[in-house]
Amino acid sequence: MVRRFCLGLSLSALLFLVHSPAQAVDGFTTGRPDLKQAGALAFAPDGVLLVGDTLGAAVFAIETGDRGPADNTGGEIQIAGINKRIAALVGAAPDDILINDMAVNPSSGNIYLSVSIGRGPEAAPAIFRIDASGQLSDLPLDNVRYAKTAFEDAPEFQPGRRNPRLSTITDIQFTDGRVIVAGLSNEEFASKLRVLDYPFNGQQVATSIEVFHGAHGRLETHSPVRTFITYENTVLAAYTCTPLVTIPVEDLDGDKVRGKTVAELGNRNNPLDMIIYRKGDQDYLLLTNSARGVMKMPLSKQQLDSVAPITEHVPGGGTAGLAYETLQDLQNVVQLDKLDDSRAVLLVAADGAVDLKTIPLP
Amino acid sequence: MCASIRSCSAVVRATAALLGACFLWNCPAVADTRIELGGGIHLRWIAAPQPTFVLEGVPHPSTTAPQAYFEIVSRPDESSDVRTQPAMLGRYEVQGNTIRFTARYASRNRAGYVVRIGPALQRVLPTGAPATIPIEPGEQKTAPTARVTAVYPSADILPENLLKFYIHFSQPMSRGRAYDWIELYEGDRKVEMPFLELGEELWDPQQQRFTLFLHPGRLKRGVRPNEELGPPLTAGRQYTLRINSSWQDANGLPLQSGYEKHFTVGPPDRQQLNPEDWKIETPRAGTRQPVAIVFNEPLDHAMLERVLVVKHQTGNTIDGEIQVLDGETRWEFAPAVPWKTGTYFVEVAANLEDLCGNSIARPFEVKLQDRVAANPQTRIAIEFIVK
Repeated sequence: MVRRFCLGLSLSALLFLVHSPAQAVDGFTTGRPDLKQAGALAFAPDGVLLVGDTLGAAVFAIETGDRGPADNTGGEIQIAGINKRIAALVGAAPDDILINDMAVNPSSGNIYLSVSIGRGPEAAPAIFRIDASGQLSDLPLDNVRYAKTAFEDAPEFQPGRRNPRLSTITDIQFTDGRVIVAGLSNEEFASKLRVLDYPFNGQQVATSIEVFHGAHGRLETHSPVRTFITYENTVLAAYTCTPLVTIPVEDLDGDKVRGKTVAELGNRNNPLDMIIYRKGDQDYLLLTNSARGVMKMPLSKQQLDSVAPITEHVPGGGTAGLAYETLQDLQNVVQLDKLDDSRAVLLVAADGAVDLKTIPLP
Repeated sequence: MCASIRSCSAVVRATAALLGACFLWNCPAVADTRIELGGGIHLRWIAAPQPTFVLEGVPHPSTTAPQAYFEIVSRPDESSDVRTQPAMLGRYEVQGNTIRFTARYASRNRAGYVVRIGPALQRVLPTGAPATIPIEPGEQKTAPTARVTAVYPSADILPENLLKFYIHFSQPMSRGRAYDWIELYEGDRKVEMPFLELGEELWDPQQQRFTLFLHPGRLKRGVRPNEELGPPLTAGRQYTLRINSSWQDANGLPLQSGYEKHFTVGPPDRQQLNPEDWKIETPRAGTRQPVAIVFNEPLDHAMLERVLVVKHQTGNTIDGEIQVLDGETRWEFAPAVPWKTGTYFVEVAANLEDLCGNSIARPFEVKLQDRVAANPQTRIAIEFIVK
């Protein structure tokens, strides 16, 4: 029998809080970053590319030297089979090219791709960019200015024991001097948003997010954020189990936060990526989706604040919260970013080919 | 190996002649291929670690435009034109009468390369030399060796709200198409969209363990996927998790065979874990007998291997080996050295989950009015005394 059952080994607040210096912190330095995998991408100011490294449990900030100005003279960009083009440049089979994420440098309008060369654990990371004329080139990583911050992660027991746990970085955003990172564990089913000070100083705060889900007065605490974006000091997060949720950025301070469910995106919905843009006097959210085309939702701060949270379930496949339309002509969009005030850039994947193209913002 | 380019077949097969002396830039001797181009000029291809091409015997090569001598093209498919395909990225170095090209990225090239002879080299080669020289990689391993070694949970009866499977492989696997090779069947009927499909895919660092979540939107009551499609599993029915043999390992080879896990579904489990329901078996001093915890239900296999640790009452962590047994209902820890008499603890992280995502800290779904029942601890400790 259990002889004694001891409680109180730690403060209750720590259950939902990790707040401590990073394991390793570098200021900007010049050399070759020890990037193990180039995953989620975002841009910080001055052409600094933020790269999520799931295998290395870290975020890198890499100076691209690409500070603009933007060249908007190139018109439409279309690169069919961009995976094949990259394969040719690196000497690999097209099937061995995995494009992990895409981000546009807002300073220059150049498009950046994070790539794995190979599909095995020894796959090499690489960064490619496409300029306004559609020219594809790589960003050599052997001598760049970069900074790195590693995650202070879940408690590690028994140092030296093989630890197969990874926190896969599913999205990164830069907002107001901070880097926000969404992650998903390959073991426990948890939801945390990490906030890193930028420039990196070792400070990081991880906040657990609770989300209402409709029926029976239930509250769900377990769900990973799939993709998110910041808007008017609010995190707009799409969850793997379909709610669209708002969380004030200022609330990401380590205390447990309850998100507000503002839309239910429906079944067969696997949110992949999102952007916010302005057209006329109206802001819109555009959300890509593995099976349902692209969703377009008018958005305003006033709406997000005033919409009643969804706390009751919506029967019969009905909708509640913010309204949206589905753009059926945009299918198989796996990556999405805003290229400029009038265009979006998409990665469209079908039958082993990945095409890059620009479209007018819908 | 051909003695000259005129007698060489159109394709040079790199069956790895070993050149014993590799004196350029003090590089180590590696398996490589030498191609005589005529006029005392030859090209060597070194496959690893970085694909490298060394042109030797060039009279007075230009140091400013070495790419005018040759470029390397990743061998294109039939739809591409080798003359217009962009050259591979890399670095040229010129030293003496040698031009060396080192590819920037070490990549597994299954198709081979084409050496595109440039105008500067054409001028010094004998008349009639070809404009391109294809190079094929050597024979590659073709027999599949990878297999599925285990699928967890290992029990034959699984709860209706099962949250995840772990699929273990005998060697590293490829990433990027996992969900194409996994299917769930109820009898002969394929279950529609049962899994959470994440482009990133959830692997361990060695890519030998794949984590497969059932779709959380179909497990959670009250969200639309659950309302409209229902849960992926239904109590009382029988299912098969099928893993297709076409799943490729890290070398691009399929599995030796497919794998099936048959199971019956039982009632859902929405209960928070309660360590008061566990039993501990205490070892004797002077032995390496394991301390064991017997659970009242199967728990998460991966977390049982990671989030329990044995400590002496002084706080020192005890080194030893963990085994997870009896369908993940039994955890054992055998110390590296025999137990000494004294008081010990098994420390358990409160995020330890059962098969349905219920943890010590809280159940998978929490009723608002029950929030106070959530266990606020990050770890609990179970004491045992070794005599």
